[in-house]
Amino acid sequence: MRRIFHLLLCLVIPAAPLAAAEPISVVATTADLAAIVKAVGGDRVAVESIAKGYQDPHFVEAKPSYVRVVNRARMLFNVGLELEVGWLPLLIQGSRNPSLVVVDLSPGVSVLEKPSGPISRAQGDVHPLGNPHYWLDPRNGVIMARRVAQELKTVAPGESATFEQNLKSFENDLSARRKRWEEQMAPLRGTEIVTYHKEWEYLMRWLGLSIIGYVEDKPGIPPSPRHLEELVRTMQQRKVKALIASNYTNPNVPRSIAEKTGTKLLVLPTSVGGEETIRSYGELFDAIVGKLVNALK
Amino acid sequence: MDLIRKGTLFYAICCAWLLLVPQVSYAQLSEMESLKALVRDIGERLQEALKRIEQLEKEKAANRESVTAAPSTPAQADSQVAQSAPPAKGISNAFNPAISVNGLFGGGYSSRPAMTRRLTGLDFQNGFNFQEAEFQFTADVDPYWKANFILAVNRAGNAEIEEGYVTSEQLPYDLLPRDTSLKLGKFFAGFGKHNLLHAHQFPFIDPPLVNQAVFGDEGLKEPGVGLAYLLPTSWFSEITFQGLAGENDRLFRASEDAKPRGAYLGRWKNFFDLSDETTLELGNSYIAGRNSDAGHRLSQAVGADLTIKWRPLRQSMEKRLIWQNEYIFFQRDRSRDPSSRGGGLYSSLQYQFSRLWWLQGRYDLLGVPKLDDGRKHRWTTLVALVPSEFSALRLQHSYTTQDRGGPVNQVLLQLSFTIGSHPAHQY
Repeated sequence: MRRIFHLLLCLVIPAAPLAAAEPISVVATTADLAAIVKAVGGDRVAVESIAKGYQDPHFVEAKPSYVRVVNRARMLFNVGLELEVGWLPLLIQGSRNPSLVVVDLSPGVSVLEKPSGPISRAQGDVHPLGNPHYWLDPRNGVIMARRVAQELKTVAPGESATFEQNLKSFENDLSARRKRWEEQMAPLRGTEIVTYHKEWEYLMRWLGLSIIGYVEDKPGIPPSPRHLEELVRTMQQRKVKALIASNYTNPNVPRSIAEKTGTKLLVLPTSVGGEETIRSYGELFDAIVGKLVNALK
Repeated sequence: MDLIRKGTLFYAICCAWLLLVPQVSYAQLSEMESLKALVRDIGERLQEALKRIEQLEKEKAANRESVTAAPSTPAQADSQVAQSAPPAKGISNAFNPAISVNGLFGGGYSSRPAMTRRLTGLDFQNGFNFQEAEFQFTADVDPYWKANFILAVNRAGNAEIEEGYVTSEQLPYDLLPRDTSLKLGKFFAGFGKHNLLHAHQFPFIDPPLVNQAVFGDEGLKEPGVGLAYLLPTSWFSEITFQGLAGENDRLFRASEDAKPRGAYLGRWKNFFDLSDETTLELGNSYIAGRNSDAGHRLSQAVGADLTIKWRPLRQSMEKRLIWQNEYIFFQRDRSRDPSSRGGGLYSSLQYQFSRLWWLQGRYDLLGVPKLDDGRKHRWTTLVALVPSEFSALRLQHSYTTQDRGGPVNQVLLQLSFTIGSHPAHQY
């Protein structure tokens, strides 16, 4: 009997501190959110992201393996503004995890392109709540990180100081980098560009580049030949320097436009993990700004 | 003084007369003038509005700068959001269900029109046909229940509640164990893969022969209650148990006069990620229930399914491949009478080869083991133009051979369109 008791004690004693140090399990819908949560949460969180950085976050599939991931999570961070409307509701419902804390990071961000008049699907894949690609402005990254810190503190109040400290280093690092990016891009302000999809508004607004046209005449709908003809004409007339597409877009159409107009085709990552070298939120803009400067100088 | 007053009055009347008369006699001229004045007025108002917009933009930009310079706390941000929400006016649409409507419109040609219904389960005649309209309403009832209603209106104009159920993942007092979901109402029974689909979700225009033979044209939909439990495995593994009314007229010989005797169903579904882009699904289903007719003997069906899906993570809108296989064996009345037992299978391949186009093929075999009217083989090919996730135009050809009766050729054309709320896509 005593031996059994000792055996049990041996099992329980090492398990107790382990349980206390268990990191908060977090799911993020995109790799960018995962990177921000990791930066703020440090080793106090175990983060898993659903969409890969090189994947179009609109069109993720609600795979049952993701249901399992959400089932085991304590918190879920999402971009919101209906970016994940085609798949996230099924994952949350299928997860059977009523204690899951779901945090939409869009409140607090100044959202662009909120439709002011009536909208219909004749306009393509319009987002009724506004353009959801807001993480592509590092100033929004700071707003998101602050919200993440606040939510993590609610779930693990004992770790508040750690989260606060991590948040501070994240902000300091991002602010130093931002200064550098803004300096690099300053001579290019006002440069006219064309993009494939409406996903660069936040980035270009921050950097002061002017988007004068889109390959997609309606978001999410393949462009019509007539629209492409007009676009080519405009690009030739205005001597547009770059055509920007994300790295999950089929490059055939943008490539042929670039060839016809003599414009540079610039394929940019939209998310952390979009390229192998991009492992943090800061590195995402290092890559984007680096490529923009190279192409537009 | 009086004279002066009278003079002024006279002068005023003259002026008014002079001003008014030409306006009356030159009405057209006056119209032009008033139009000009209107345009001037609109112009001025527009200028004012533009100035106001400019001012607001500036204010917004200034606010934004101050937000980025000293960002608000999320709590403040939340309160900003709350402030920007329109005030409630007593009547609100905020809690109305999400509504979507799907229409199926088609054309058909069969070399033996009389057999169309038997071979496709569709009420199609040669020529154009309105196939079906489905109205879907979804909303959270309260923190515990989520409701879903699907009303179908068929060609004859008959409306039916195809599904009407609530689901729950959490109940008061934590009555529902963790990892379990509850479903209550009338719903498509969780047997196999195809039975869960509504007409507009069918991968082909018509259902597989075996589903029709076992569960009838409408599929197996029953009032009942179901529990689905997520097993604590390293892969996705789910066990479903459903207690059903047993109303199916095909499997349980139910009719309007006979009281259904109840049925129960079990399904075990497993998903494996073979890679980031490929998944394998394996499922087994079993259903048993007492027949409604005299004797109340047991009827049962057992099914197995295997599905492999591939979709590239990059450019995921451009390519996709789905290979789905299902086998169902059934035994009505638990007798050895060959007319009451049999089985069938289908194997289908759906390949999306560009952003807008799909090419599909399916092989159906009904009669393993053989049914009383022998075997049927059916080969189906389909090409689909899918302009967006809300519309699809599909052209299908099928060739059927049967032990009893000659071969049948059939061509079906279908337009499917959905309006309303954006539906999430089941995997």
